[in-house]
Amino acid sequence: MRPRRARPELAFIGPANGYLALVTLFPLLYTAWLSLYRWNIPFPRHFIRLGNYATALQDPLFWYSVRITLWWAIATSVAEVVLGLGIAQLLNRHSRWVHLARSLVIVPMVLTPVVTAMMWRYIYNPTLGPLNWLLGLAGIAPREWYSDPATVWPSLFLIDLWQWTPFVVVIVLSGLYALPSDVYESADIDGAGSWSKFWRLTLPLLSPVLLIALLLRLVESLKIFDTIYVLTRGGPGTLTEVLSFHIYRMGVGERFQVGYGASMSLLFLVLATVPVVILILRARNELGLS
Amino acid sequence: MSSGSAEPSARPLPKGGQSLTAGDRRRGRHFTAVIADAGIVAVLVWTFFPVFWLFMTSIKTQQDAFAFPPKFIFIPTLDAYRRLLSDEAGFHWPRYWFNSMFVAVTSTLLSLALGIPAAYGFTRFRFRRKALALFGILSVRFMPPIITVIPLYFLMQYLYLIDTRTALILVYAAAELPFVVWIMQGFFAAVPAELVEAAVVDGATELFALWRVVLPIATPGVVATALFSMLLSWNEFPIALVLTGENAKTIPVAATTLIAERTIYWDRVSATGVLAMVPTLLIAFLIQRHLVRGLAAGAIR
Repeated sequence: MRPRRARPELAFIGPANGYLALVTLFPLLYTAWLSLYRWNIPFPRHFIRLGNYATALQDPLFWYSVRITLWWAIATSVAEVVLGLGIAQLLNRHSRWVHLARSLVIVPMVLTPVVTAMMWRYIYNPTLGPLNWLLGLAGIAPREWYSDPATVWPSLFLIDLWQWTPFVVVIVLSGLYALPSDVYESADIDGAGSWSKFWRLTLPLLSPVLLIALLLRLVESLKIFDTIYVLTRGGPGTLTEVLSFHIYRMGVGERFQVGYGASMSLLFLVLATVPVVILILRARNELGLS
Repeated sequence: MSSGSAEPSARPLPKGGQSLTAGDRRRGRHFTAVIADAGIVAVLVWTFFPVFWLFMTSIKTQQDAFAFPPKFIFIPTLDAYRRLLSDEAGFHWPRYWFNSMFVAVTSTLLSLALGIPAAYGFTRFRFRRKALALFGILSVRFMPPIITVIPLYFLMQYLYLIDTRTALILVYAAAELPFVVWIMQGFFAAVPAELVEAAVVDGATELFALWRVVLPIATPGVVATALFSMLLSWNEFPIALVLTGENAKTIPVAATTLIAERTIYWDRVSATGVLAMVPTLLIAFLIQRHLVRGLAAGAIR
């Protein structure tokens, strides 16, 4: 804007960019370099070109991890958007009590994920937990919620829904607030019912906001680690070994195959980039990038 | 939770929250509003039952915590909390609490020191490849943390920083930075450009304008950003898990060691959970107004 100096912005944005490059770009390059070696600590390092990638891409467990991670991310984010949209509709009124409820429903998402997972682990506890107790009152037999292959996914799913549906609620409520009021007024004049107003007006007008909420949740859900670490550690067997946990276990948590872990990290990065690129292209304006 | 039962009005209402439709009126409530209220109650019960249970267990004695069916009438005790605030075999709780707080505060200060000027640079100046630079900063936010732990481990080992608070501070500051830049940019954009121009015309440097003109106006924004940033650090787990041992261990990592023991003492697990919750709830209360802006920036994940 002001041609006093050639590039005045550099002094301001330079340090932040430099720091980020140092702390993120460097590790990425180092990961790329590591991924070309077979390095199973404490044994010496061997250069094996793309051998680690070949191993990963031929390993059924790696593909299983990819599949369940994707499945998990899609299922949780879609469910949270649908449920969040519904709850936001309930809260889209103006009364003192609804305002109070609005500030209360946000509580789960600020809690430490590790703490949330521990809390639910107690609720699911087969011998002490309130869930089996409550079901017992209804005459339903106790279950081993998170160690039984039949119930482990629903158990994890419920925790994610509990913690992250409020995220969608907040975003949808702000989206509802920004909707133009005149279309609703003319719909009222035309005598449209609330059901048809929801389907014909609210949903179409809100769809950009819903898409952004969905993508934001999708990007975050792909990273799931804390809940898995606290509840299942990838188990029973390797049933819930999502990508983050698989990389952790192979790379640093148990096996110390750092080269192999590094190669899977880069594959994970490629996978995780897809929804991020879609998100940024779709939400360019909202993210201030245009 | 059918959305059809909801109050139909989505329009912004006049000031003072005056109701426009029958469903909003205190008396003579519409049938759908009653159903919606029941739905809200159900959502709140669902939200707070686990938290209530955690709190209840945290004030039980070890014996009561292991009772089944669960006891609702018991003599409350602060035993579990007392243990969590002192050293005991294998656990150095005061150190973990200090680590978590110190890392949260210091990494936030560092990310603000780097991020505020950057946010100012992005709002104040127009330059080529601005979108690309912003995209680059923002994309860091979306990286799965687990893919950075292997290289960061070696980096910190090379710098002799494994199991130090410094390592966590350096990494967390980078993780918070994209968020600080993005959210502060929004706050700075709300400051009238004429004020800055006037200061610069009067001979102030850009840095002076930022410090004396823009920042005082944007102070609430800075506070909200700092709180968000501390929340990120307080809640972080995978990086702390890999980079710390006993010395720099943070609360989430220490908490997971409690459930790795052969016998899990649920009274203490619950008390840890409740104590860890306190700062997050406080922050949630303080930042409510800015929540939407923070969420989209990835303030909370």
